[in-house]
Amino acid sequence: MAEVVRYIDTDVSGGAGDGTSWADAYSSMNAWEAAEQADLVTAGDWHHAYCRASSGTADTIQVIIGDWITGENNYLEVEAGTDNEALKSGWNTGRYRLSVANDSALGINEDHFRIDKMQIEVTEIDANYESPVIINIVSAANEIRISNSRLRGNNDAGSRNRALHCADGDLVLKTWNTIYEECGGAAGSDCVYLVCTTANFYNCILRKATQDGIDVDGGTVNMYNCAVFDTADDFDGTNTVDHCASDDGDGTNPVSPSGGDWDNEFNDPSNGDFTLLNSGNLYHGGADDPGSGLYSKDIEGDDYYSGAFSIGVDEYVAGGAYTLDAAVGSFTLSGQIATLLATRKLFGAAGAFTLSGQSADLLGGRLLSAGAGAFSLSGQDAGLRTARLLSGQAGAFALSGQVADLLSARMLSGEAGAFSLSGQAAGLYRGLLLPAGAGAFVLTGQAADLIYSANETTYTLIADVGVFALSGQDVDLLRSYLLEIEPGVFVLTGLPAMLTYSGELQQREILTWAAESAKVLSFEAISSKSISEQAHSTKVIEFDAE
Amino acid sequence: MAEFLIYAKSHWMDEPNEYERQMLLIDAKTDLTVEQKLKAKDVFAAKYNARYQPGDIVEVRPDGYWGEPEEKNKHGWNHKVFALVKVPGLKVDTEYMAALEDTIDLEHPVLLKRRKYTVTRLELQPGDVRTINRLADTQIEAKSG
Repeated sequence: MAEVVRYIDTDVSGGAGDGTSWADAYSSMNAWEAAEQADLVTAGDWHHAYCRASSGTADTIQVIIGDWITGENNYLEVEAGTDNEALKSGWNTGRYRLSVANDSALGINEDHFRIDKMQIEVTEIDANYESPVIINIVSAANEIRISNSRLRGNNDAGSRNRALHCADGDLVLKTWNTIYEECGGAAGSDCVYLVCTTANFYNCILRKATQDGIDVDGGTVNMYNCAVFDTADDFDGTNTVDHCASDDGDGTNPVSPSGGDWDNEFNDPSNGDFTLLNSGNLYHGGADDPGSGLYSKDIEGDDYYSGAFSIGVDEYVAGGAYTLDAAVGSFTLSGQIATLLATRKLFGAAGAFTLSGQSADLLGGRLLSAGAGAFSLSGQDAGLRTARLLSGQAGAFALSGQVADLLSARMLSGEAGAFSLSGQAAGLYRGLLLPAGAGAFVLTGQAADLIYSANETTYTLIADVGVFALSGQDVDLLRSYLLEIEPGVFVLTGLPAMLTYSGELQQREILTWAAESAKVLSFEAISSKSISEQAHSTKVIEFDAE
Repeated sequence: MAEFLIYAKSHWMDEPNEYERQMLLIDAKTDLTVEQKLKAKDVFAAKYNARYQPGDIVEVRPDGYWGEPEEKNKHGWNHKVFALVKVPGLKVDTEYMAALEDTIDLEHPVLLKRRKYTVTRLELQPGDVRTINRLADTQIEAKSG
């Protein structure tokens, strides 16, 4: 049994175009299919085509798989190449995708065909049943597999649309770790419509349909560990529904989203991010190995939890690393209790580090360096602690949400960048040195504190041309012995805003400044140039350079 | 200018007696019922009737899309299977790539021909590159089912 390997790259540069290597790749799946048709059974081969878009160009020509002879062991498979795989976190236009307008994208007229890791969509529809994948006709002995993929329909209300459509009663389908989505078209639009002999769905997500999540008009259909929601009827005519999560609560061992909200189960389901959260009901909420060995890993290759697979296409995996280096990329942690711990070095030259969700922590990082990038933590209990050096030359550090803390930072250096904490109880404590060359330190929200920056060790807040700003209710900037601003600005806004115990301001002295409502309680300044009252609750003190 | 990628080789199903051989192979299967064999024959017959034929328009692209292997700003094409026809002044229209389907029942579309349109008169061989000044120098014919 020989494996015939061919390559498809929509951005291939020159080459022989015969698919024998990436350099000689076909420029479309359609051209590959037309050129390579063969009797695989007689040849004793199976055919494996890898797809990529090396510069992100979509493959826009409809493909019909037919005119081959395939068999159980002589099957035909299309698979996304490395770094072109479908993602759990959303549709990706930088990767290979078959994106066809006003026709079905991929028609299957072959008996043994497999789709793996692919993105397939219909970008426009002008007639009913133009679907990402349509299985037209198969023989009695067939098996179609769709795995680790995203099939995206179309929400144009003008036509009926399905992510997967099959009306051949002989179909035998196995599909796992696949997302069937966005079928909000005209009445009768389903995520999946099937007439078949047998179809088994494992760990799939069917989301958003005007009518049914899955509409079965014939055959035996079994669904395990699937999540089906945002439809008028999640399961219509399905024979077995086991350990599935849905709005309707159908089947055996039904699972409901925590709090009735899918946002408690996935990172951002309404925008296609089905990254599993480990605090919901889908986490380890499914049956163990429902495919009896057919698959054991999730859409991105992580092992499913042994004992109880999670529901959906993703298994939650905690992780950590000593070095995260994204030259032009980005690091993103999201969800509830997203932690990035004990990281010794996080370096993103032009990239970004992002942590979001509840209890997002970035702890013990010794060096966080973002050349032109940004560090961002948001959500409740967002903490960035004991970082010895936070250097954002032209970047920004941002913490937002409730109880956002940035503690014990010995040096926060934002030359042209900004440090920003916002939300309730945002604290920036014990910073020894806070120099913002042309940047800004900003704390906003209720009870925003910048404190102790002078009591034992903090002596300097320097803003050459930058800004220190605290806004919101009960904002405090306390005990700063030295506030050194060249032509910069300290701004406290809110009710009541206080700047107290500023013991020393070189040649520009403020002893006490406070504002309560519109009232200035006490103010002394030697070289301050102006005090402007912008609003009843806003005071701005501006200083000139020497 | 539009560039047409033309199917230019003989299809494998057109090998001598291939159609009959495939039918005999189906008959020889011992794991199929009579009814299942009939379905398998129907499926193969449908594929056979719809197969690519020399002259079929596989793809149409804008001017300059395809090039020779050394032309790094263009895309390679398989010279052993396809021919290339360049037609100045012709608008790229995806209709040239349309299949011929029976769509009376949209839920059960039946593929009749892989391509509705075929190029005649040019007698293309795999690897040929032709530039024609007028569409009238060739003929693009619509097939019937």
